[in-house]
Amino acid sequence: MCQNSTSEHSHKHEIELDRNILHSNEEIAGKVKGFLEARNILALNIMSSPGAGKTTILEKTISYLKEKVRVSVIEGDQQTLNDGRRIAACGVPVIQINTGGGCHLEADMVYSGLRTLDPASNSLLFIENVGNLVCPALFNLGEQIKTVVISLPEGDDKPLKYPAMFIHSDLCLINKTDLAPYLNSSVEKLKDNLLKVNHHLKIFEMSATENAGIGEWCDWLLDRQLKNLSSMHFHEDENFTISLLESPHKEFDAQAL
Amino acid sequence: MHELSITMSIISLVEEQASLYKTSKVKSIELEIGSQSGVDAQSLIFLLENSIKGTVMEQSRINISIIEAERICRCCGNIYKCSKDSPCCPQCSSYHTEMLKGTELNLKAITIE
Repeated sequence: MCQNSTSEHSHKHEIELDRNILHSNEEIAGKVKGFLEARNILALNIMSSPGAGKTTILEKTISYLKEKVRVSVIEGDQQTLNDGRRIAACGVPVIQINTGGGCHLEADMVYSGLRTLDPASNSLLFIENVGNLVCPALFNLGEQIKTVVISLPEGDDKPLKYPAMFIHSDLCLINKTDLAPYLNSSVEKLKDNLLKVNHHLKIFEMSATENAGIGEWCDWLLDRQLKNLSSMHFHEDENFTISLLESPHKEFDAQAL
Repeated sequence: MHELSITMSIISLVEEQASLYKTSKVKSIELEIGSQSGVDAQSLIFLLENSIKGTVMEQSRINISIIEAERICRCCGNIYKCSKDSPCCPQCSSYHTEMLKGTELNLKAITIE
């Protein structure tokens, strides 16, 4: 590389950029979006704190939906195939992405996951993000619906304390409502706080372990997707296996600090 | 720790620009971070300072402007700086409000030599 710096003039030169810092993630998210649109796939990015019940909600949701629409799942966790195995046991195609140290999924992970998963046209795709109520909110994955799950035991003031996630979301699932009698937090207060932060939020209440409220949200999802389905017929005799993708970001960890 | 991903994105954006302008030295960078962006400016500075060694940003000053969250009230039209405690409109107490500013994550400018 040529180095031309030294002598002559060393005047400073400002370059206006005004670029989104996450520009490269946005670009890849655009590719994911195009992929999904071409196949008419409705994709949801499911985010929450660890333990809010994302995977249990997905299990119940899949068992309600899988006779009606094709479903596939991208599972994000720092480690283990545990959640991927739980989803595979439901009989739908799943890809497990392990982010290693990473605290959220990024669009490039989803893009490579999608290419391996090869989801069917006219289907639903759930992307279960790494459990974290802060970081995943910032990274578009090319999904159409950002969904945040909040469980009642987390406290009804969470939307006020962690507003970014709720500001960025389109849909909120309030889980573990069956525990209300044992808690100080109330569903009504939680809903009130959710709408204070983002009055556009569509809210569903449920208790996934009790299978309560699952039907209502699934019917809403079907309504969003079914109108686009050209065919409802599909074979159910495929054998699904889990594939593991290591996070492409490990090289960053090694390089950075 | 999404600030690490953001740090790496900043460095790669700046390196891209430096190579475009054929310089190996970036004097300073200007960042714009919204107060509701979910990015902690202190963590970002810490990570940047520890990641720029050997890059075109090694000698860079890092200037961060924090953009205060601003909302507009759908009920009374009031535009107001949003407090950390409550997003509600201080004029009519409505929560029917929209975010105008505060989620920025921008690389505004760089200065090269």
